[in-house]
Amino acid sequence: MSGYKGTFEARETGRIARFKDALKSYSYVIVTFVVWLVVGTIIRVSYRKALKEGRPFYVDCLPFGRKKE
Amino acid sequence: MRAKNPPPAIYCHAYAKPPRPGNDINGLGETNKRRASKVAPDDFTVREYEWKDIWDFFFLNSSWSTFSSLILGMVESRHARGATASNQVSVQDPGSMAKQLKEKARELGADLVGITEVKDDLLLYEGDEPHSYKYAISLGFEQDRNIMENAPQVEAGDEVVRIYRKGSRIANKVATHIRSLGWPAEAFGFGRDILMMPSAIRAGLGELGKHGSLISKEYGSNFRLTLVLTDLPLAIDTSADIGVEDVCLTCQACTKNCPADAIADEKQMVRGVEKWYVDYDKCVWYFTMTNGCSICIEVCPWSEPGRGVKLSELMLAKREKNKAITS
Repeated sequence: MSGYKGTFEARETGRIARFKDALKSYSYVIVTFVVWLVVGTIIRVSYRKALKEGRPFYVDCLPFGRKKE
Repeated sequence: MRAKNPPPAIYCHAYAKPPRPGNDINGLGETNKRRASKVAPDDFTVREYEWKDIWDFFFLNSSWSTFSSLILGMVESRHARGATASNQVSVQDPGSMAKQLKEKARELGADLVGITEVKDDLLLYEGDEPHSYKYAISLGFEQDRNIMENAPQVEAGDEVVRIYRKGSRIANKVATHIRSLGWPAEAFGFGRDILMMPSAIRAGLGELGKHGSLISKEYGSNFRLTLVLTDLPLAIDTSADIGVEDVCLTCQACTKNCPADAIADEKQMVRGVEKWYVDYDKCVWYFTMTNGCSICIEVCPWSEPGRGVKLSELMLAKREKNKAITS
């Protein structure tokens, strides 16, 4: 066996456990989609704005890419 | 092939507080042997990497096609492990079992299959728990060349992630098949931290090229890897010598076409081994600006469809001829 445990791996067996695992996994997909849509859109818009204005976009200052004062 | 309209290596994105250089983390210039350290994440839910921020930016800034393949691939990784059948198939002939398994993997969709013994030094990053499996099955999956020759355009990046996801699904199926034979098996694809290339090299899938990627006779560098670890007794393959070194020593296709100037013409000392090495600190900015670049692997002469086999024959014949002349 490997010591590695993936984030989405089922920890138990059985029908209910499989259902819970599937629910957890697909909830993650939905939440991540919302994050990509909302936070990703802010990042994409802010990045394009920075490109247009010729100033740096700081990847460790997401989502707006501006230095925290 | 030449890169189609690559944007110049001028970057707007940057770090306000830069992390430790990626080349230092990778061990560039180090003369003592050690395992690789993680620089870029494979499991994107883990937050310990020094360069995590630029990869968050990369994935959240990526197209929906890239991002959705990534997330769905990670979720599908829940099938990477599972229950092993209670009736264990007895293996009298590991050679025959290896042949059957390779046929099964190809039937499931793998384009390249190779088997080697598990050695933790090949698979694990520094600090990882050791594996107890005995064999590593490397699987290779061809990318659509018609899409990839558009690198570094967005659709090329989408194709890379799509193939990684396809590879993960097929690795899961191969592992499931092995478990149905009563032997433990675990798939390593999307979102699972493991080194894939060293095992693939030992399993004979190809050789390391100057651009830091594997080169196979069949697909050049135009393919991606996944891995299955198992205890199923299997005959192992030998590493390949297809003439990659003979070409890379003089070819400069990747070196000259890299807009970030990240590929050196000579081998470098990396963690105690002299090898081809791509400058992480130069590559990462261009990679994250262009949805995954891939210029180097597509301009590689080995990646031209149908050329690899002929190139290999030519290089090996030339080497034999030179050997005969000098001896």
